[in-house]
Amino acid sequence: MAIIYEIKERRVVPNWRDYKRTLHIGELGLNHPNNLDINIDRITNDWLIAQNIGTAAELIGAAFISDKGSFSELADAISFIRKNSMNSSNTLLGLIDVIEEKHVLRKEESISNFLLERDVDTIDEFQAFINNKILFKVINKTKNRTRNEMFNPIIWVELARLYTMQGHEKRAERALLTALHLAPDNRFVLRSSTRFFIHTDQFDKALFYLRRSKSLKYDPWLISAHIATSSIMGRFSPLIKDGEKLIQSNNFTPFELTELYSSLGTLEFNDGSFKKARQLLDKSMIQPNDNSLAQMEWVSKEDSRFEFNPFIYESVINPFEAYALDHYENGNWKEAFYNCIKWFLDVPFSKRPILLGSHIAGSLLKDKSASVLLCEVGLQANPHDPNLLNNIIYGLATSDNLNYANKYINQIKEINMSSLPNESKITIQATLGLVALRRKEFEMGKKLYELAIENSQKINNDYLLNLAIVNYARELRLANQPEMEKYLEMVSQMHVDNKYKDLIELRREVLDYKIE
Amino acid sequence: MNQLQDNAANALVGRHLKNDWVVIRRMEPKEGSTGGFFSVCYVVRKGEKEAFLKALNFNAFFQMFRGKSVVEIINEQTKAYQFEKELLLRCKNNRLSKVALILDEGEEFIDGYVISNVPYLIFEMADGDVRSHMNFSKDIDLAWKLKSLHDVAVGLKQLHGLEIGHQDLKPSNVLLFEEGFVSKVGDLGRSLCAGIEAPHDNGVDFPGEFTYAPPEYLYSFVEPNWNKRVRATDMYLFGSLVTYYFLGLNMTALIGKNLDRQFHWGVWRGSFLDVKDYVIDAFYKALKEFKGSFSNQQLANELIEVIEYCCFPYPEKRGHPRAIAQIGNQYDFQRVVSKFDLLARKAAYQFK
Repeated sequence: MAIIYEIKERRVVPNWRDYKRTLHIGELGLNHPNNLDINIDRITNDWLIAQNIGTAAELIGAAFISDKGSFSELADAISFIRKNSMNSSNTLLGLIDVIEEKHVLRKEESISNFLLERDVDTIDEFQAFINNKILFKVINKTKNRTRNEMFNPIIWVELARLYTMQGHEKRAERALLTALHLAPDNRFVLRSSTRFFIHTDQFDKALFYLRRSKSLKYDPWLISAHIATSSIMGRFSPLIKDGEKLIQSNNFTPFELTELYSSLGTLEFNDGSFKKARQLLDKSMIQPNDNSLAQMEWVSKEDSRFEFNPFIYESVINPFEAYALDHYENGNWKEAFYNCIKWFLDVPFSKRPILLGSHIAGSLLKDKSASVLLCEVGLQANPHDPNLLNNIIYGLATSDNLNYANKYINQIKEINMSSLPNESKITIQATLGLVALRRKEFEMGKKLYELAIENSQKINNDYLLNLAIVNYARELRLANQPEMEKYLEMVSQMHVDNKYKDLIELRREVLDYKIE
Repeated sequence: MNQLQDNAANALVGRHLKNDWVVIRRMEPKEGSTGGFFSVCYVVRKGEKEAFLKALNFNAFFQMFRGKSVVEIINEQTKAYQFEKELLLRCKNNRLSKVALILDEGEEFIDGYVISNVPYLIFEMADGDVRSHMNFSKDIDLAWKLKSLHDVAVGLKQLHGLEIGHQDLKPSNVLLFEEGFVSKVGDLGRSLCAGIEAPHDNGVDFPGEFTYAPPEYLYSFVEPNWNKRVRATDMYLFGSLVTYYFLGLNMTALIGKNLDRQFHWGVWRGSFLDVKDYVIDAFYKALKEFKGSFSNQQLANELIEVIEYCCFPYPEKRGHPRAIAQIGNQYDFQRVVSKFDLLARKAAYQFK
């Protein structure tokens, strides 16, 4: 029928990036000076007594370890090493650069709030990015690193993420289990695992490893993940009280609490407690991250009492999801599309940026090839995802590329439909109807479309109902079938809620086509 | 009389000490003369043999710890002196070949001072410490460095054999003898011993120089098992010395260089257990950096193998895994000694 894009309820599920970018975003730190004062008088004195490369190196190392960055003896030692650089090591010279440029580096790091492994500006660049063989090389390199760094949990998580991007879920899980074995209490490992297990619908496992961790009760980032996972499963997390205690403890910065505030606020919002939700969600915006920002954006679109502009939070790193949702809701299709691309590049296994991006490209920007390309990319990481299969079939069928669509049609037929939500079933029914009509199997096509319309009525989903009618009318018109007048009339009489901008656009198109 | 004059430790020149030692001249504090501020150093002679005398300077302690009871200071320092003396005598009696040995010890009484006792220790005269011999450029002095590290490993093994953990191994405590050909481990002032209670051992703090401390101490983590803690610390300090010999930086600095700022010991306010996985990641990056500084990759790999099991950031994981099964002690230095013996011989053969 159409390209599927719908999030019923968004939760504050942790994002999973590579380690380097996660560090930059600052989700792993506990950043407060702890007043550790290391005395280096003896070493300074030794340098003053005998100035040689050995004492200079020792002083530089000691200054770095003790975080003492500027004093005259250090400057002299640095100058001595520089003058005798032929007797020095590159590592020592590198450390001197680190000491001298520390402040400059910190400044530079804070300039950009877009942190991607690879950025793209056009769909061609995106295509080049996903078509190259870099990913395979990176996976091989990372696999080799796991052999050399067997006890490094971080590198196992990195490998798992790369496998997830490739759709190798079992290999990814094995790598993650190794990381969890090595570091069962580590925040990066646990949040990455939580995201993976949610991505692969293994919610129980996500909760199991969180619950097993000794850090859970004391870590707002983990409690938030636990609340979000429980909420997806329709349960109440027993950690809610612990989360509230952490908030009251005043031991954490607003940034460290942003996801916890957001998770608790979302629970209140879903319970219909506007006042409490507002208080908590407002607090989540004191120092938001990309996840809490996107959550607030989602809430604000669900309930117009929450007025929200994500663009004023300039310090948030990688705010692509919130930006994509906001542009989408405001009908800025191109901006929304490119933010989807960046959102996907940020979390390159996630389905949601692909689903939204392919929907925008295919249904609103009329760029079917971009839509299909996005689905292909999404299918690499999620090869059996029914929504992605539906979307690519829709994109290919509406571009009259039925031959290429066949392999995906065969795949979607193998899916156990009874396990899918009603909305997906209806959409797939209609999409298969579209395929049949384009194949000139009119009876079959009409039967499937009418079934989809009937089922939409049964579940009282006006959006799906109208979408099915609009698409069906267009296809009948294209196939010049006698029922087209009836359905075109229905389209012209249709009342569409202003929030469904995509449907408004499709309806206008079908009606304009009729006028011609 | 001012404070300097009122100091018997400054008045030893020309004095005849017990066992025919004569104090020849005062030495300005040399690099590496640990505790230089707290001791006064002299050249002493007995016949043709010159040696190094370290006299305990109580006055310096009074200056350093103003307001603290004099009796308490004297008591503490006497205990520290007695402790070091006892360890040194134990080493001497066991004729440790790679530990800088005490030749004599005693206490001189000089009239006319508020504190007239001057306890002293007499050591073999070293040529200096390793820092003056260092060159960190690629492939320079490889044979010498490997031989020196072998000597140090032997010294640590000998100390461990007497249940002494050095705890303050650093370049300034590796002393050179015979024109730099022989290296010995010096300064047992911060050591710990299984049978003798050390006055500086509070069971929590790192006894040695803090800029050489293994990462767990920087994050206030203490391995509860004394034996494990002491041996694992020496193991780390040895691995850290290896990186200093080749790069000019100890392992703590190397880890710090590869550790994101938010996890640094000066910034992190969580526990060591919470941060250790990031430290482990930085440790592996440090090893990679170490490897990159060698043109001889085979040697680099052999050294990395030793450094990895000596310096692993988590003390529990230090030591050679096979040593547990074979010797029953993962922190035993025998494998390190054998490895450096082999490497030193190979290098010596290559550069013949």
